[in-house]
Amino acid sequence: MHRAILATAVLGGCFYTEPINQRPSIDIQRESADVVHRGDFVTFTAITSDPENQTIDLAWTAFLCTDASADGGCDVMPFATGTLDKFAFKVPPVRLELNPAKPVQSILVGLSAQDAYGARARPDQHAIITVDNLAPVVMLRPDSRYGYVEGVDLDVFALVTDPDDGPDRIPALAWQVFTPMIGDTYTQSIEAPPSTDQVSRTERLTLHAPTGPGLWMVSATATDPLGATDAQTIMFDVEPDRDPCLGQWSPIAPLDGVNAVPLAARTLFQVPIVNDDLDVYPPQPADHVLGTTRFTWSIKQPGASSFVPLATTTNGVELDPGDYAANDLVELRVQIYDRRNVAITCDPTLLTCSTSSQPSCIQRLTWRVKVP
Amino acid sequence: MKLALLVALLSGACAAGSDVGVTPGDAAGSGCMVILTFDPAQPIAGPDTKVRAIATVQNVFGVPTFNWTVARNGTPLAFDPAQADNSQITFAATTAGVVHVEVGVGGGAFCPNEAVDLNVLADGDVASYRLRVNAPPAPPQEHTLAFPSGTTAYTYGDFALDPGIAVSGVVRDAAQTPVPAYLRFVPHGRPDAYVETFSDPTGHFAASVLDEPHDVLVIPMLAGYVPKLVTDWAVGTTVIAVDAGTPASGVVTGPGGAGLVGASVTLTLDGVPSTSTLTTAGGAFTLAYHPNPGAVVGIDVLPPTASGLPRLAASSAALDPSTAIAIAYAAALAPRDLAGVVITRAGSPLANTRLTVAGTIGVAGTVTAGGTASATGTIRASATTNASGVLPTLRAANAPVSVVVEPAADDVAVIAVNLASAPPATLVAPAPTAHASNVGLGGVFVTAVPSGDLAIAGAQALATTSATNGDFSLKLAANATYTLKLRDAAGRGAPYEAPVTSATLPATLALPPAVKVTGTISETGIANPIANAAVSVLCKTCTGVARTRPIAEAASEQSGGFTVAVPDLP
Repeated sequence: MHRAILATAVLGGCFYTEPINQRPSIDIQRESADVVHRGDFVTFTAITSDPENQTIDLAWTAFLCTDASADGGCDVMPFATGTLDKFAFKVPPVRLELNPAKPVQSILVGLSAQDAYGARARPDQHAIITVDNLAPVVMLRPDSRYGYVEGVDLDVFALVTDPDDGPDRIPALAWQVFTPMIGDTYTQSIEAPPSTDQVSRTERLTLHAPTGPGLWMVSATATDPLGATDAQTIMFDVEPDRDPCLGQWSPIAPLDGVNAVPLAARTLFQVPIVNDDLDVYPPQPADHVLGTTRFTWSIKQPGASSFVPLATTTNGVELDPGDYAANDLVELRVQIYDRRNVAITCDPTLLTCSTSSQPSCIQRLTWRVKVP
Repeated sequence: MKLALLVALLSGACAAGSDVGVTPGDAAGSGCMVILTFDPAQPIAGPDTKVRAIATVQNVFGVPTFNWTVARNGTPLAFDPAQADNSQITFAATTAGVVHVEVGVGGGAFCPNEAVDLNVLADGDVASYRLRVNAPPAPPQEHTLAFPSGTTAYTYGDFALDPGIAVSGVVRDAAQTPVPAYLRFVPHGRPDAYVETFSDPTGHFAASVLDEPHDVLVIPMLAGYVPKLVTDWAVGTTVIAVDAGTPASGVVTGPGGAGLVGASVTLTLDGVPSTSTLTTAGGAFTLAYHPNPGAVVGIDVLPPTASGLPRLAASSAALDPSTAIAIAYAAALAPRDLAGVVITRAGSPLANTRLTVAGTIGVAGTVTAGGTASATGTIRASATTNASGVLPTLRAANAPVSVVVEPAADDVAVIAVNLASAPPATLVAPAPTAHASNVGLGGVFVTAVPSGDLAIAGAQALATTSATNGDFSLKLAANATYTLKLRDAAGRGAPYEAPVTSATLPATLALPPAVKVTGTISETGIANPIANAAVSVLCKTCTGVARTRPIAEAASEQSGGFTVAVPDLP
């Protein structure tokens, strides 16, 4: 009887067995752009499927590499891990396990998974991301509030930007200076303070006492650790130190050689304004480059044949009619000099004198003064 | 800064810290704009305080007219026109408080009324200066610079520079003869902001002046014409007439009563000179002047050098040059001759050395012309020693004097000598010694300007610059007085002035606290910045040449901005 029942059951197909658990399957889907640079955010999504619709546990790993396809080309320890569907990280600038550090050039991303019964997806999924290198960018700006004048220090500022190389790895600059002529002289100093915003850095090249008028050319080249470069060149025209010009004077100075300003009361003869590129009057406060005009005064007393220097070095001289007799004719002369002290070589009898190519720019003025 | 803000608020909503007390009116649809400004921007009440209100109209068609109202607490205040077109007025600000100023613009112009409540500050601890701007071709202009004491920085605001108006004309006499002349156009109420020019040989002149009444000082360059002051000259007046003036005559007598021959005599009437002349036989002179009743008459007499007499100067409104003028030296004057005196230093004669006898005499004579005035005397006589250090003839009045010896440009010695008695056979000129001091700052300009007898002798100022640690030294002459001036271009301190001698030069000095005054220069009504203008801060209460000596100077930048450092209290 029992045999009959068993045979019936087997033949009828009614055996019960536990169902067999199947492995989940996984895939990696990249969400971010194809081109990745150090410092970029990269996002991946795990594509999972489980025949039994079980919960799937994920395990993401990401390794920093210089060459993900070579032995030893990646760090041993992952720099990022994750367990969620979404896996995102910011690409670091350098591998963490190398000394000296080397820029990250690729990233190896791994994804493994298992379902609730421990069935592991086969195979684990991997993706290699190539990390492109961004070249540094150089910007140059010459700076001088005094114009570019021979003998005056001038600064060239460079801003180097390289956001994918990370803090303290913004490349140093190689400076080159080309003078207008062989034999033109200068010295230089470079100031390169640390970066303050982590993506850019400023350098200052100072050309000390450049001599030689004409076009000066300065170039700066930045090369990052992977050899990418950027170079910029600027040119600026260094001019000779200009002659100072008498800008204003008081009182009026008749220059026809006939009229004379009347000296009816004690009078201050003064030069309130001297125009110059470097040595101005009034002097500019707290300026380490600008100087001030040098004044020399001389006087031709009534009946005298020549001018006698006065000791005064200020911008004004007072004359008192009480020192003279009526109808006395006095000539008071001021001459101005900048730091070059160019000699004023005009004939002493000339009331004015210009050493400049612009005749209106005069360095000598003579007041003819008559006591009424 | 807080104080400045407070003052700005106190100054009225519309006149804070600036010369531009403004609430620009803009009538709907008309585009006309009226701007009210004041000079001074922050008036300080006082018996002599005058405020100028300036109306500037923009975008107006036709010729505007101006109707002004000035009131305090609803009570009208008197005012005077200050511009030919009535666009400016002046009114007295004798007491502190708010003055309501309102101007209506008519004459076919559709402009809104403009009103400003101007705060007149109480007199007290207020620093007050003249702020002068010169930016040719605009005529020089001055406004009052006033700020409360105790502040460290003060924003003046905008100095609106009037571009002026071009005028031209001719100087000639009644016979139409052209006369070359020096011309000084002095605007009413601003005597320091004058414009100078010359007329050419054809008598023609041209200048840029403010569009307001002026007095014009005319000093002909031709003999036969007399300087004169043309009062109330108006823009548009093209002929300035000159003439031979009115004759004045008199006599100059020496201490013994005899006529003094060869003395130069000049008059001034309220500063306007006469012609000058030399006395002839018997000390007689005749000159010409332009009458000005009630004027202060100044008389200057320069005697011949050989006389040894001092120069005489007298000044009085009681003198009337239309009467005979008697100028008499004091009988007690008896010049001494220093001939034969040896000048030495350290036992050796000073050869070929120039020296000057200098001094003053309180009453050296009298002048009688209708009234009488005493005359002061100024002694100044120069000579050069011979190879043995011996003086030639050198006559000077019998009074206490200083003998100023100048062996070299930076070597001045002063010897006090009383010529009331015979001069000594030898005068010893002490060598100047360097006197050290410290101003605490490097780069400070240091000037020692001679004063007293040293100035009379014509000695030059000494100048140096302090070292980095503030040290400086000056070779001051003993027995001499100077005015020590310290100026710091960096504005770390205010300018400093004090009388010093070689014995009183302090070992340490400090610049007084500076008030940093900033502002801008622009053209009236356009607001274009004016660069390279000469900006001067000047004394407000000084007289004579001291009014022209800048306390601080600057040149305006491309932006029109300027910065000057001035003392807290002048």
